[in-house]
Amino acid sequence: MRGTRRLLRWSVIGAFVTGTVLLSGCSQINKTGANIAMRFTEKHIIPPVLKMDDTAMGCSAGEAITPLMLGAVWGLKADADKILVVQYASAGLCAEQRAFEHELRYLRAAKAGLIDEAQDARIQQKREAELAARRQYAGWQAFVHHYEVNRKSPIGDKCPKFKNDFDEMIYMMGMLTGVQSIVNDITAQQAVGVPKDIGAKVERGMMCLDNNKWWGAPMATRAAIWNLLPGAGEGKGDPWETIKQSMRIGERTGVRLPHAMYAMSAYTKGDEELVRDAIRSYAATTEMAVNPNYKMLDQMAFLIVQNISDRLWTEKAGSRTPPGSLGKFWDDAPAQQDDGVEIDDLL
Amino acid sequence: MQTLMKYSRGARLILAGTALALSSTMAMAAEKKTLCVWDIVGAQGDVFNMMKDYKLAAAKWGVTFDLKPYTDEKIAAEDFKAGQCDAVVMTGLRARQFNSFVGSMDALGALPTYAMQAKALATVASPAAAKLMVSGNYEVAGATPMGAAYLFVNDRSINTVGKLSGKKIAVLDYDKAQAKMVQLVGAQPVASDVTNFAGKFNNGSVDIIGAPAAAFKPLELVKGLGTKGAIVNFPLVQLTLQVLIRRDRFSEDFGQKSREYIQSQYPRAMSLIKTAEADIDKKYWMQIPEADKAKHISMMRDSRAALTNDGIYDKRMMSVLKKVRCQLEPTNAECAQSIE
Repeated sequence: MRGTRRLLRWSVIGAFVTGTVLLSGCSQINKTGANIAMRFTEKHIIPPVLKMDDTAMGCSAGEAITPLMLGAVWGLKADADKILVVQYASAGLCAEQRAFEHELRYLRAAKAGLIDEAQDARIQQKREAELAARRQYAGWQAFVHHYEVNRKSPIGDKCPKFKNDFDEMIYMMGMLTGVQSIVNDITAQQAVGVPKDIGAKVERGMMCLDNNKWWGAPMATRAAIWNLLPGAGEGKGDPWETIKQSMRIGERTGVRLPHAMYAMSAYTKGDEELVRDAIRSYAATTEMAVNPNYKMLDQMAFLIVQNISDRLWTEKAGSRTPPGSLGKFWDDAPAQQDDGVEIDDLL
Repeated sequence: MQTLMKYSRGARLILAGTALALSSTMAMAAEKKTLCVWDIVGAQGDVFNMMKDYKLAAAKWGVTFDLKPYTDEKIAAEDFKAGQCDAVVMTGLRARQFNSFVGSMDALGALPTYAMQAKALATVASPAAAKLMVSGNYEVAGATPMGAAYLFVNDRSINTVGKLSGKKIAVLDYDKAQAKMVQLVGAQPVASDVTNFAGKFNNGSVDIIGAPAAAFKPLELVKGLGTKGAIVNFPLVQLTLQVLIRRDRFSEDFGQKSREYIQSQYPRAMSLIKTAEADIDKKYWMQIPEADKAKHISMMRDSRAALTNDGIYDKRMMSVLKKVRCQLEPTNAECAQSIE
């Protein structure tokens, strides 16, 4: 009897131990499998997406795929930080564009004296900007988690040892996403509470990247921050000159992010002549060969420049930039009219 | 019949007068005004964002504003003075030159708590204070809080007024009050501006700066605080942002409407301030030792009195601020004295 009881006890303990080992084994297998899928995505899914030039599809993919990635992170404990940087940046872009549409509506309505409509547009703009800031800040946090926690390289204080181009690209994208999250949070009346030291960290963090390799974007970003943060650029050169040098690199390497930085920085400064110059400079590069591997990023630069042009056109002319008119302005002198031939002898 | 004709002539005159008044109001309404907005980060900043909503409120009163961002406050003030801006938004410190009464709200140690500042702001926004908002062709059309400026010290042993002696303090050159106070405590003023004061603190060329909590993260003042530094938890100055207008370009009632609107936005402004203050790690805040508090308050009061005598602060505002302090804290020693 005593022997049977002992046997039963050992059987229960044995079953428990075996079950635990099996289950943790399963979760380990799941985690490994999920991580393989993540690395596969980094290597074979995202690069082709970056070769596309359809930003609308890119942003929709971001909104659709991010929850699936989060499933892998939360449920399977996979390391999806780098993918989340891309996904959140893309999903943030969707909300940012919607916020921008409401901003244009606000401008049109205010111009037409439709105050209630304008107020509604402002409210909606703030809501979408909050969503954009929330997503972009989540992207920044994934970026910080990967480099600061996993790789012990505090942003702005220590450069990581990059493994490959994708790693470097994520480093840049994470920082740009962080800066965007501050801008959108300000529009949203700081509803998200994005920490404002991101700007200074990014200014230093961009030094980890090769400016020539990354289309002049790192230096252009730094110079835009010099323009933004009091004292950030002291002794570091003229911000506008730095941006223009970076634009030439951008044109040589086929991604016009520095042009977008120029337009954004000039707009922020409130210098309309510089804004026009930035838009014209971008428009003058239509013949440029776009880098085939990063068409998506070049297209994002286009979107930024076009948005700024649309803001100006809407404020001054009441509607956005007409088709084929990027680089032109409502008050440009009309082109010389061709009067045809003299027909007085017929009259 | 004659009376009737007389009445009808009178009515015609009234009608004509009304039509003239209406048409001039409509002309005023139709005309676009330029609102020059100083925001340290320009068109993407909190102030500019707030003014986008102000623009809509003003449209309801018949004024269409074009917002123009300025990152340099000095240029915004100069453009306003030169008439290139119909209205301007700038700090009270800078606005003092246009209206010393309201500009003196940002006086040294005059409003030790946010509750006191709220009462002072409500006072200037009330219709009863309307006359005091006007000085010549300038009118203050609203004031809103920007957060208290605190002393940031690179060594927390600088915790009494006496220990300020000989220390290097960054002072903004356009605010005469700062230089005066620094001189009074025996410290060494280092002329600075908003673009370099944080850098000077962070690289150790000055020991002390005054700044609002909102500057802490963006300017990474944590670097200047290091391991030994601290933020003195006593508002040095309650900073305000003020809207000023050129009176001849607006209708008579615009200023009051604007002041009441800006006052209605007080909770929004305070929420940004509270967020910025809560964002600073508790370990950096330093309380002034209780024994030294009275000395601190008295030093501030003496500075204010000296600055009022020098004509930098407005005597009437000093008296308003004292009333505010004594209404909220009637047991304060100063309430039984008549220094201010």
